[in-house]
Amino acid sequence: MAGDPDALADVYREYAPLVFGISRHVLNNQAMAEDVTQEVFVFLWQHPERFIPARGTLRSWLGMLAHRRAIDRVRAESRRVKGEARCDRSHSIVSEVDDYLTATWLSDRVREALGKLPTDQRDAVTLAYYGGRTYRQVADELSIPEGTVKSRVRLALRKLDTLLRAEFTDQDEPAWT
Amino acid sequence: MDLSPDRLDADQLLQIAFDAVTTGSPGPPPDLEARLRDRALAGPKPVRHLSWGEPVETRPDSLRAFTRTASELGELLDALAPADWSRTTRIDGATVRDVVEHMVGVERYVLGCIDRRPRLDAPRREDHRPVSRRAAAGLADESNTSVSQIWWSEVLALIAACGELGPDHDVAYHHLAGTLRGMLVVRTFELWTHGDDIRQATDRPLDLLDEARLSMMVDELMRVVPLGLALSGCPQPGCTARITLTGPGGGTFDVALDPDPAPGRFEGPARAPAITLTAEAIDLCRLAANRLDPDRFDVVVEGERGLLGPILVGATAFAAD
Repeated sequence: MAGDPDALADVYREYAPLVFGISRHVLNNQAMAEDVTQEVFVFLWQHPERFIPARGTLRSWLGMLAHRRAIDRVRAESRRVKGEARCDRSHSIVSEVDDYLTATWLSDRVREALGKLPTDQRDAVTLAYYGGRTYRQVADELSIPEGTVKSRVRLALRKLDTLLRAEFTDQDEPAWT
Repeated sequence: MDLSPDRLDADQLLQIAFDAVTTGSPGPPPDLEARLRDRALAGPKPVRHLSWGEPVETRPDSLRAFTRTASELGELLDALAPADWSRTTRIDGATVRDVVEHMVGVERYVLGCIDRRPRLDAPRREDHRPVSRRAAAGLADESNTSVSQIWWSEVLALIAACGELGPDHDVAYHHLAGTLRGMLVVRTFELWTHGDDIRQATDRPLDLLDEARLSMMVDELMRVVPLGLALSGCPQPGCTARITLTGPGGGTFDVALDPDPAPGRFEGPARAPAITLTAEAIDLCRLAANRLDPDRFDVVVEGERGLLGPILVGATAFAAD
């Protein structure tokens, strides 16, 4: 993908809604979200080797990048507003350690949040995301109508959005760096 | 059917989180794609100068080195064919599968040392394999893929824990007491070694590592050789060795052959060295990991040849398997 504008366009069209949506969610600012979105895709375009397929999907990796970069932007803006000196520690948009720390931290928060869902919603979400099942397949396994599955997943995601809101927008920096 | 969220892996959990926060949210403005293209083309173009090879990065911290080595090992495991898992390694007839189960056990043991898993009593170097077997008990019915994933989950847990605790957190690893920083150098050594055990068993080229990680490992090895001599019961009071290591990770070190004082890179001898050794850095690392027979260690010796044996014993004092 490195240096290939057409490949960049393909990836952008598939994942821009996700990357922009996460950035917008964290930053609550359209212009900054657009900027972060561009940064994420430019980084991928320049450093495609940073994505390791064996460790997860491109979708999750881009989402994690967007989340981290948006959090960094929130902190930078906070320092700017407070008149604090810029951190003179050089910071790259991603590092391998930060990747794994963020992924582990976020996935643990999601697991905890899933535990707080009503059982029927939790079961529907778990089945829907485990093994790439369709709603039809989930409905068959749970012996409920497909429409009910969609409804439960939708409700579950809405509730998870509320449960994860605080963690998603205010993550502590890893202690190692 | 098990509907517990525990069966979801990290990637699936992240997908849930991202869907939860983006469902129903507006998409990017239509002109953002064109702006992105202009920005990408205006910036530095990614160019690979293959003739230069991998750029030499600055010395990594040991958490970064451990993470990278674990990631590479994970990729190796993902690439194994089903038949590879039953192939015999050079470790006392252990199969590839045995080695991976051993690594699960070691990660769990280490997590226990920092109270992220149940603590397991293993104060001696000799306890390394038995304690890993205890920690990995119950994996017999798991598929090879599952064992690999379990290992990776434990690695992520360790990385996260180290990230929280910091490099100066005290930890005891068998007979060695130190900090997480030092322990992760040992763990990097071990993962690299076991990765090569698996590569050799499956007819793959060995991992030569990069300059940065070899330097980190060599520095640590040179630092602990005096302790290794003491642990092995063969310190050489009053003697210094000048060890010149060539190739990636190399350097020249004046090493006191007793635990006092600490060694350092060559800046002029405090005590004239009684022996001078010249060898490849990676060979010394393999010897220290018990993966190179001392009889096959290609080293040029000048001075008191009788000190070579104790030095090699000291260098191998930390290998646990």
